[in-house]
Amino acid sequence: MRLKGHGMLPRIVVIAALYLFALFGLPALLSLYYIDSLTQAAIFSIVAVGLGVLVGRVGLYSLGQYAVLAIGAWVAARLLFATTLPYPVVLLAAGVVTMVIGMIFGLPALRVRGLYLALITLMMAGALTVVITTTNFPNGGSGFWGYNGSTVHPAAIRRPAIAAGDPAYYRYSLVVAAIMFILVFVHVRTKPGRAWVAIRQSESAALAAGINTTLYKLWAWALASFVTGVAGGVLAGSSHYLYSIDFPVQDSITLLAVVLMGGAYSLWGAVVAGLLLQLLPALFQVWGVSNDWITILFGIGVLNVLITAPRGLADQVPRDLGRLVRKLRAVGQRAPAPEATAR
Amino acid sequence: MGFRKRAFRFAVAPAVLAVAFGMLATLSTGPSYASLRPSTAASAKSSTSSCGTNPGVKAKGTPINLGAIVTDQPGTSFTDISNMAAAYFTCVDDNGGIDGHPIHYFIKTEQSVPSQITADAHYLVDTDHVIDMVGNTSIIECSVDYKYWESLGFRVIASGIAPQCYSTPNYADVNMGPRYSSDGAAQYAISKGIKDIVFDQSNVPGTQYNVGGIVAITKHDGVKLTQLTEDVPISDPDEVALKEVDDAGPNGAVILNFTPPEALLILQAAQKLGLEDRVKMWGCSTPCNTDFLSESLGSKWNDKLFVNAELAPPDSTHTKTMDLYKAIYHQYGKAVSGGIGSFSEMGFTEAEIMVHALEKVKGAYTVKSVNAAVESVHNFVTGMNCQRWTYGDYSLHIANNEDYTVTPENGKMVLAQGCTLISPLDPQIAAYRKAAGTAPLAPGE
Repeated sequence: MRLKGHGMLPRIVVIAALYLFALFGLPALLSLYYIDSLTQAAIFSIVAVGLGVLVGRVGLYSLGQYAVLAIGAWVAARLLFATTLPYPVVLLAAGVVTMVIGMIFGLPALRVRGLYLALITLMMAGALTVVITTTNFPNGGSGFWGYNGSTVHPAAIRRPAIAAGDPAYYRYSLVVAAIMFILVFVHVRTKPGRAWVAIRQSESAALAAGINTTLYKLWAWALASFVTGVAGGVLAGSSHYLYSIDFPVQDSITLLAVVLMGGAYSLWGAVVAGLLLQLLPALFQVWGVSNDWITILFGIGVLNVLITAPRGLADQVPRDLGRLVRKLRAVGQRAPAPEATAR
Repeated sequence: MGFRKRAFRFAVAPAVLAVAFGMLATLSTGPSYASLRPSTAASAKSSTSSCGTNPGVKAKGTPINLGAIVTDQPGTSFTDISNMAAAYFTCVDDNGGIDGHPIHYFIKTEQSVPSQITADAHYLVDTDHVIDMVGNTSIIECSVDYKYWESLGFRVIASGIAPQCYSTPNYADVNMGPRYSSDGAAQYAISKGIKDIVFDQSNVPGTQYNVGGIVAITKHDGVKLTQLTEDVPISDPDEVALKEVDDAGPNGAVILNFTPPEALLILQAAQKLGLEDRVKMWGCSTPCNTDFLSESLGSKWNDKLFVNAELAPPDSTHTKTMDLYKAIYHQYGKAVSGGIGSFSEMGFTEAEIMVHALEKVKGAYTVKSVNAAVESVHNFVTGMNCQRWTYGDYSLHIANNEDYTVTPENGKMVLAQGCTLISPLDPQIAAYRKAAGTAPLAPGE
């Protein structure tokens, strides 16, 4: 893995400074409303980075990631009710179980891709949603499913002792998100990442070059499912209560659209996607703008990004800002001196 | 360049799906109530000036901030309740306010996402500085927030749905909610000799809790109960209606527990297919108690559909309170899209109780003083409920547990049965009456 390169150190310093500001500065500056929304943004940026691995690295389009997230949340909730395991262990277990189920989700990807794969994953997500709607999320009940429908006082899903309050849980979510981002970053910068790029460019060429495409495609599904499962675990603790109606199939489509908007080919794109998914609706609520506009906005945003910037807003915004600055500088340099104009 | 082309090719199909979904989501927010609003708005007999203590004078003092969190999502919207409460508060503000203080009412909508509801509650408290909540109506808000309100000392006046709206110390409701209203609908059917009941409800959290009372009542009375749930928004109402009548049989009853647009879809499907007479009776929990539903269905449903009404039937009740409600609705209720009906009555009643409590506050309007005043509301005559309404210091609150039954008649909902107590066979009702007793009947105005 190469970390050295032109401008790498300043980038690391900037990222570290931004991260530390998000970790310690924002909770001191913002109200709980925004901290709650940013917690959700951190969770969904993990989901987005997982989907980014599939879409941006390998070129596999999944429309079932919300169902995968629901699996992670379900497993974590069940373990948190049934055991006293430390929270990180529960997150790990949620990630591993989701990874196994996610790989089954990914099996069709070995044979199909593009629209067909998207449709297959959408249908599988629909089936999973039916199962979860029927069984419900654990609420402190007994038995395998852990659901008691007639209870008057459903139990709340516990949080880690060190992060019981909302600002502390926000920091906890950010730390988990950072670990998941590093995990993905390491994959992208090492052998699997190179294999995924080769598969995305041309699966036949990758095969001819000796790359085990089956292994690496399943690896991508496993990684995406693992991080999404961990995100589900964090979501369980943040919400305290989980409901099947919170994981509608159609939200997977929105998720994909927003990941494409943010930029499926970079880790920054996942951060942008998380903010668009969770912070933007919170801002709209404050501004009194109907939530219906968000879906329309996302649709238009995706079209804009696909036509003008396939690498997403994470690439487009800094690039266009840079161009603007350069143009403004050039205009400033070309402008004649005031004395010359007077003569 | 090659990369751009490939990215575009692979991404364009899902993108088109996303755009199509966006359009669908925008269009699928259920039928508009506006088009179904009663066309002949009855002229208000009462002036709205009676909603305040200083008629015609706008309140300009320090505002009293109150909040509400309501569900507003495709297939389920309760915004009429908070919008009607807002209309009442505006009326109060235009007529002197609370001792010169206007009420600033902050409404947050949510889409049944717990984290969003938590964030909304924090925003209302931290940014809007609300000192109590009134008009909350949400599928899961009570479950998510009840501990938060308890920690702040808030005494919430709400329209309840989730179990915690009725089973915690910090919520009291003007309505009976889906469980007790459905109890009432089942009780009425059983009182008419029905032996087979099909109970169908939307597949939202709390379905098993909602049916808990009916299960106990039917079991005690030896009535066969079939339980169904439907995903909302309902995509195939014909199939739903057919299944219901098939399961109920010719001597059975179908009882619906849906929001008005969804219930209307099923009932219209039944009418289209000629199924209304295939069962002995159709029943409905309180959301069906709206004139627009009666108007939309037509005369075939007269004395066929019986709706549990948690609040006084607006068309056949002629009291000062009912006149004031209609007057406020006509003057201030532009945002109340469902018109005269249960939802707007709830909003009116909640605001009315809150104003009554605020008027009792001595000194500054603080969290402590306002919530103490709310808790001390005792045997208040709302003019809408059968019983006198009490908040009180109880571990659970089912302040409204006696109700009416109405039936459609020429585009209106008219009284079919007067005030009837909900059966203590429902263990929750029994527990509440043990704690708070049976509230006395409210006197007529």
